[in-house]
Order: sequence, then C-alpha cells, then structure tokens
Amino acid sequence: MKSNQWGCIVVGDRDAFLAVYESHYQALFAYGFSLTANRELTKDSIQEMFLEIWQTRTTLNKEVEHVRSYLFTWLRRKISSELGRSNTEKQHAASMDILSSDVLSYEDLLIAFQQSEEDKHKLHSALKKLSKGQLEVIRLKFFENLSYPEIAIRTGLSPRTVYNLVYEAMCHLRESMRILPLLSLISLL
Amino acid sequence: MNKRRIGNYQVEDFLANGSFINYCLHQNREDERFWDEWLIANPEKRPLADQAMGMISMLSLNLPEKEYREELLRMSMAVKPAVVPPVNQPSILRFLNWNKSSEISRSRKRRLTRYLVPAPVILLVAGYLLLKGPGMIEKYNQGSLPLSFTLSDNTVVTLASHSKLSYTRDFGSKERKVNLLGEASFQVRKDGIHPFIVCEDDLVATVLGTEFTIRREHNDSVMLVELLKGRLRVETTGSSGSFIILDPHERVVYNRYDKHIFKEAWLAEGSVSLSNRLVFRQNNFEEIAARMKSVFGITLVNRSNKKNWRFTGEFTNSTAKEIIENICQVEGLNSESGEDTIFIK
Repeated sequence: MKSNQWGCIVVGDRDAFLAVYESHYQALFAYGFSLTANRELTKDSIQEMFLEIWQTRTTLNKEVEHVRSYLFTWLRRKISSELGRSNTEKQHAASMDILSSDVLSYEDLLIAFQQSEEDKHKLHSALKKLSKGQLEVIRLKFFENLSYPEIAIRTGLSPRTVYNLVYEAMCHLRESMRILPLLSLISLL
Repeated sequence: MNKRRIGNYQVEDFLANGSFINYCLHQNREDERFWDEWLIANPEKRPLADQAMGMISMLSLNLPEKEYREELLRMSMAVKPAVVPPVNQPSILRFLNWNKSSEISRSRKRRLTRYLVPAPVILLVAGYLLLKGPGMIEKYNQGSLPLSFTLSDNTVVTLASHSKLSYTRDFGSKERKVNLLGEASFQVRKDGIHPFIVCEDDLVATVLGTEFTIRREHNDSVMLVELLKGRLRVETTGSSGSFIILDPHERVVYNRYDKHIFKEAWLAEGSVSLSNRLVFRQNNFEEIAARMKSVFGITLVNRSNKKNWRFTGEFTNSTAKEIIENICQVEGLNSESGEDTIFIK
C-alpha cells in the first residue's frame, strides 16, 4: 500500500502525494524537532523537502520500500545542510557532527517545544518530579511510539509494570500541571 | 491491561491506553476507526478525551492540530493542480467552483477564484477529509460548528459536529450512496436515474430530490428523519421489506432498541439548525466548562463549594449566559458574568 502510493507520486498523482505528506507529517515533525529543537525551522524544512519531492518526482526511485525511513534520511540531510548554512563560523563538514553527537534529551525537547516562558518553566518543574524510569517509558511510549510489549523487551520489565509506570507518570504530570489547566487546551486549539 | 471499564475512563486512563495513543498519533487504522466511532457514541467523554489528546500530542512532540492543519493546507495550496481536475475529484475542490469556471469568462473567473480562496480554509479547519482505503472517502467534522460541503452531484450536506459521512470514490457514477454516523442534513440534487441513499445504522433513506435531516435524540436511542421538501422513502434494514413514505413536514421516528418505527407530523422550528443545539447528559462541571469553551469561547470558573452535581438538559438558540443561568437554577447555584468568564458561586 505504502510503496504503491510512492509509485503513484512518481507518476504525478497529487492525491497520493498529499496522502503521503499527511500520513508522515507528524512523525517527520517530531523527528525534525528532535534534531533542531526549532519549530519553524522544522516546519520549513519539511515543507521544502516535500516541494523538492514533488518537483523532482519523475527522477525519483519508484521502488522505495520503507517510505518513512527514506523520508527521515532526506529530512536529516536537509536539516543538516540548513544548519550548516546558518552556521557561518563552523565548516559545513562539522554540521553532521552537531546532529549525531549533540543530541538533546527528551526532557529538553519537551520544554523547548513549549512556546511561552511560563509553560516552559511549569513543564520543567513538572518533569523534575518524575523518576528516571518514568521518563524513559514515556519517551519510549510517546516519542518512539513503541507498544507496551516492545517497551517491556527494551527495558526488561513486564508489560504490566511498564503500563503502571506510564499511568503513574501521567497522574503526576497532570497533577503538577493542573496549576495550568489551560495547557492542554492551548495545545488543542 | 486496563483497570477500568472504558465507559468510566478518566483522563489518565485515556493517556495510558495504547490503542487510544495509536488513535491520537494516527498509527493504526483499526484504532482510529474504533475511537472515532466510540467518541461519536459517547459525546460526554469527549472533553476528557480531548484533554488526553492534547497531552499525548505534546508528549509526542507533534504539532497541535491547528498548526498541523495549516501545514497540510499550505502544501495542498502549493501543489494545486494547474488544470481543471478530473470529474471524480474530492469535494474540497468542488467548493472552489472549479468545474463551473469553464462557463465563466476569464476575467470573472479570476475574480471569483480570489474571492473563494478563503473557503477551503474554513473547510479544512472545521473538518477534514480522510482518504481511507483505496475507494472510500470519509468526512469527519471534528470542529464544534456544523460543516457544509457539496458532493460531486451538487448535493449539499451539512454535517453536525463530531459526525462522519463516508462514500465511495466513484460516488454518483453508479449510485449515490452515503453512510452516516451522527447527524446531518441534506439538500439532494434531483436525479431520476440515480436515487440518493443515506444509510445510518439500520435505517435506509432513499430519496429523489429532497431536503431532509437525520438526527438523534434521547441519549441516542431515537433517530429522526425529518423531511422539508420532496418525497422520501425510509426503511429499516432488519424489517422484511416494509417501508414508510414521507411527505414534506412529516418525520420518521425510529427507536433503535425496540426497532419500532412510525411516522408523525412535524413542523420545522424556524431556523433551528444543528448548530444551535447544545445537549448535556449527566455532565459534570469540567465537562460543561470544556463544552462552553469550545462552543462560545467563554471560560467557566467554579467558585462554589458544591461540586458534586451533574446536569442533563438541552438548549436551543441560547446564549452562554442563559445556559449557565439555567443550569445554576436547576442545581441551586448562582452565577455572575464577567467579560469572557462566567463565575459559578
């Protein structure tokens, strides 16, 4: 189905193109944001990348099997050249290292994702109350998108324990963020 | 894995439910279908689910829904087709009057297009087009206002909040059949060869040029098909070939539990539309506050010590102030209105 859709893009099917864009957008955004911690840069890079795909579609490989990882690689290249361009002091060769070595932690990313200083501050203190284990399982669950059995294998815990850790983490987070009940509304609106 | 039955879910239960997370992150078709339908059937749980969705989106570093929709729109505008699209285009494009443009002179066409550009913005923000499977098109209105759109046969559909309409991609070529989940009204374009068919649950309404509404009442146990113009044939899928023919200002009442179906006279109440109706069923303060926020944009603050109440009631064409005053009267509370805030005391 997926690779089929990709083949349709190559022959100029606009609906297939938009469907691929829609179905991979959020995953690409999360990935791009984890590299840049910059919302606008990530949005623009994804937009530009897809315009490139559309404009050069006839020259693309028809037989892409793993569309998502193909797009991830493309985005990573795009962002690294983008960062390299804006980084005038460093040589562009170094930009690849920035991406691979200087990885931001999940907590840092969550905080950077908040748009107001107040929300950043509140989330920072809320996250500080979580245990290392709780943080790790919510990262695996929400950011890496693993299933409970997969997280169980990854961490060596039982699925039940993993579920309980996520559940407790959610209770704590909501408890400490109840001070700002608007937060969930804002991210919704 | 789950401690509670799904009907008693609190925000934390939604947040930790793997299937619900998949639904929010669009990871699994089955889960999406399940929760879409569950939330339509359990509207009182929506405020809690919405809160959970906001949190899941944040923890997953996903763009908030509104920003995401903007990005989708930006892209679909950027790769807009240069030529008039083929006939079986999705109805989003029909809204732009592309097909009619060939009848209009060039200069007028340009002006018309410019005026119409904001239309898809409204459309995309209020609801969205899902392309599911190879042949099905689904429209789900996730906004709080009704969503109007035109099908490829020029039938105008107004889809109520949190309702879903689906039809095959080749709609209109052989038959005009749509599946409805929730509430909608239809202004059906006359076509003697292709009858227009709406299926919802066990009800099948077959029409030949008409205007009618399908609604649900009394905790979803009763379905109404109300006819304004034309003639309509309504039958249940279970019954052995029995059907009811409606004339204008008649309606069919169908009880989903005992499968009883009958028709009665009905007067259209002025301009009452699906938009102006607000229904609460055993809702607590938080749920009511969330609904008031999404419908009227006002913030409800509870300053009363009385917190353990649940309200059931229905409002039509009422202001936020009237609704809250009414609720307070029923629950023995007082209220005071500020600018964008109403306090309950």
